[in-house]
Formats: sequence, C-alpha cells, structure tokens
Amino acid sequence: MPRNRMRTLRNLVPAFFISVGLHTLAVGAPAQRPGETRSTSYADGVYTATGQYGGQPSFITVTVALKDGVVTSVQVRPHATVPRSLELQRAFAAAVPKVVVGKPLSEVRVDKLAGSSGTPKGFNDAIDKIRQEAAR
Amino acid sequence: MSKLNFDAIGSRWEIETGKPLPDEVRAPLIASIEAFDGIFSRFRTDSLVAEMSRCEDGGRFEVPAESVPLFDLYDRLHAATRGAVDPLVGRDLELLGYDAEYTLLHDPVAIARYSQQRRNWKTDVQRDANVLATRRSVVLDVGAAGKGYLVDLVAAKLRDGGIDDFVVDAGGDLVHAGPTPLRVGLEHPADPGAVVGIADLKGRALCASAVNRRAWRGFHHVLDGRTGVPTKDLVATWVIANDAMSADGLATALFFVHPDALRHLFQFEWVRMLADGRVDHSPGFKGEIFYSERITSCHETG
Repeated sequence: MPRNRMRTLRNLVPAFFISVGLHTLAVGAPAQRPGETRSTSYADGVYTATGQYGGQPSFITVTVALKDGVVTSVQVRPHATVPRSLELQRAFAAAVPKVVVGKPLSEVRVDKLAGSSGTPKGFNDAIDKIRQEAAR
Repeated sequence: MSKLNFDAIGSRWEIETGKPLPDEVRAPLIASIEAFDGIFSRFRTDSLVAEMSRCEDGGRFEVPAESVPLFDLYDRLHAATRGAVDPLVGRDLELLGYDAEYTLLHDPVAIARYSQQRRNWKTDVQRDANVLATRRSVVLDVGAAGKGYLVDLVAAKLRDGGIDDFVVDAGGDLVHAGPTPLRVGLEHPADPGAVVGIADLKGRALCASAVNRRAWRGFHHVLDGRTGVPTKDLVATWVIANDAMSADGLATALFFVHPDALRHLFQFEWVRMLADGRVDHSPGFKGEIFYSERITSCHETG
C-alpha cells in the first residue's frame, strides 16, 4: 500500500508568499535556509505548513505539491477568526490560481450561463461546415 | 416573468422582465440593435466599417453620438494594455480567416505583408468625439466591447420604459436589475455541460470571454493588437462591473494584462482560467468557485 508522503517544511511558507503573482511557482532560491547551497532541491511530494504571523497571532495553512522542484499544486486554507484578518487571508487565497472541478449542470441550480456558449451563430455554422467537409 | 427571445448580431438574446414588455418598448429595442449592426458589422458590405475598410486613402466617418462612450472605453483599454486591446484587429482577424465570408483560412503572405504596416488605434485613427478620421484603410472590430455596449443600450431603454426588474442576456453577456439576485453559471471552457463556479449577480453586469470555442485551425479570436497573434496565457475570463460595456471590454483586456494593472482604472470583479486550467479570482468576487480539494502527489514505492 503506497504511503502518501506528507511533510512539514517551515521555510516553504515564506517562500510561497514571495512566489505569489508568478505564474510558475518554482521553489528555488527563496526556499533555502541560510547557509545552504543553491543546489538544494526538495523531494517530490506534498508539503503542508501552517504559517504564523502578526502580533495576535494569526495562522494560515498552505499545502503544496512538488514535482521536480516545481510546485504543481497549491492549496491555501484561511482560518482567521477576526473578520478583517479573515478577509485578508481570503484575498490572499483568492490570488492563488487553483485547480477547479467542473460541476455538471444537473448538479447545480443556475439561472443563466456565461462563457463559451456565447459563441456567435455565424461562427458556429462555419465551423460545422468545415467539420463536414473534413469528414468527407 | 415575461420573456422575449430573438436573434441579433449573431447572438441569441433573451430579455426577461418582471412585467410584460409593452410594444412601444419592444420594437425600438430590436431596431436599435439592428441599427448598431448596420454601422459596426464587419460582416456586411453596407456598414460604415466596410466603408472605412474600402477607403484606401482614408476619410472622415461619423458614428452615432451615443456610441462615443464605446470609443472612450477603447481609448482607455488601449492605453491600459499598452496597445494589446485595439479595435483595429479587424484586419488581423480577416487575415487569419475570420472574415465576412467565414473562410476560416489564413493568408500567410498577406499576414507577413500587413505586419510591416500594422494599424494602431492611437496613430491611425484621429477621433474627435463621434468623428473618426483615417489616412489609410482600417478594419474596425468592436467585438471586445460592442455586445456589452448593446446590452447596456437595451437595459437603458427598459429603464426608460419604466421597467426596473429585468435580465438582459445576449449570449452570456448579462445585465441584471431588480431585488432578486441572479445565479450565473461560469461555463467550463473545456466541458460544455459543466460550470467551474457560480456568480451571484445583482444590479450589475457580467460578461465572459473564452478562446476555446471561437477557434479554428489553431487560431482563436482574441488577438494582441500589437502583433495580430492570438493570446496564449488564458483560456477564459469573467468580469462583473456596473455596466456591460466595461465588463465586456475588461474580459478581453484580462487576456493581456494582470488584473492588478486595471484595478485602479476600473471598478470590477474578475474570475479567470489560466491556460493550464487553474482558476483565480478577485478578492471581492461574489459567488463560488468549485476548487478541487485534490492535491496531486507521488506515492513512495516500497
């Protein structure tokens, strides 16, 4: 039975804060401890850390998956109790692009849809025509 | 609720109103959409846009005075995206095959030639309020914000007609008014039967842009005005703003710049899907995104 690798790495949290806003969240130099060489690399796996900040103090949990030294997935869990603090943590969590799951329309109640189905009819007709020609 | 459905400017329109639309409101609505199409359509030979394209040595072209806000928005978006949002991408779209005949065949030689004389909204069109002056042929394409503009126009006419509880839906570009919030499903670009989230819309507009469906032979319709090349970083955007025209234009602008670059210039909320399928959203987004709780990880062997 394979065992899911879970580790705690304290330094990953500040590294992650620095990386926000970048499209590729590579954990390279920022994650190093002082005195370590630049060649340091981390093993593939899932790392979870709960960061502490502020005077109150406040906590935020970050879970990242690493593959070949690159963060392949990130989860940020805000758990502040102070409204302002929670707001800030949510803002931070929202700024991190995350994997989504598409929910079938049968499972959700919506009044309207917005997105791809708004493609103009003329364009769809032209595409259909190309498909038909290609199928001949 | 009373519903009015019709097709215009290539989109399916649905107008829902709390009370039935009187005839004196209904007829001018559709007429004003058709009038806009008659001026700004790239797909008909009798439009002003077609005329501008035919004038090889340029000319002076008057657009309706009420469309000035549309061009003001293009000015702002052009500046904010450093030229990426440019209504003169019409020519690039044609050369890639998205032309009046829908050939969907690109012309590499013409593309190479045009790249040497690329038109730019700032330098090729001198606008004085509602008069556009050109010095050579340009192909105007108001696709980035034109539909939103029309949605606002319809909404304004409904309000003028004493209707204050409505939803105007032009193929997913929406404006809502009234006390009951609207739940808008954010369609999954890669899965037509699924949504990646739900936005709660109340008294505002929501517009979406996606590059996966209006795509042909490796190209799609969101082009960088500086290069004429389809964008690569994002696959879908959704924007909520006070008016549909801004929401529509911003949904396109987000393909070129980070939302932070627009934050101080416009009041809006956003959701975007990156090319790798991940999604992020503005802190103030009202709604829900269906984030995966799954963390991908390798298993240890042995």
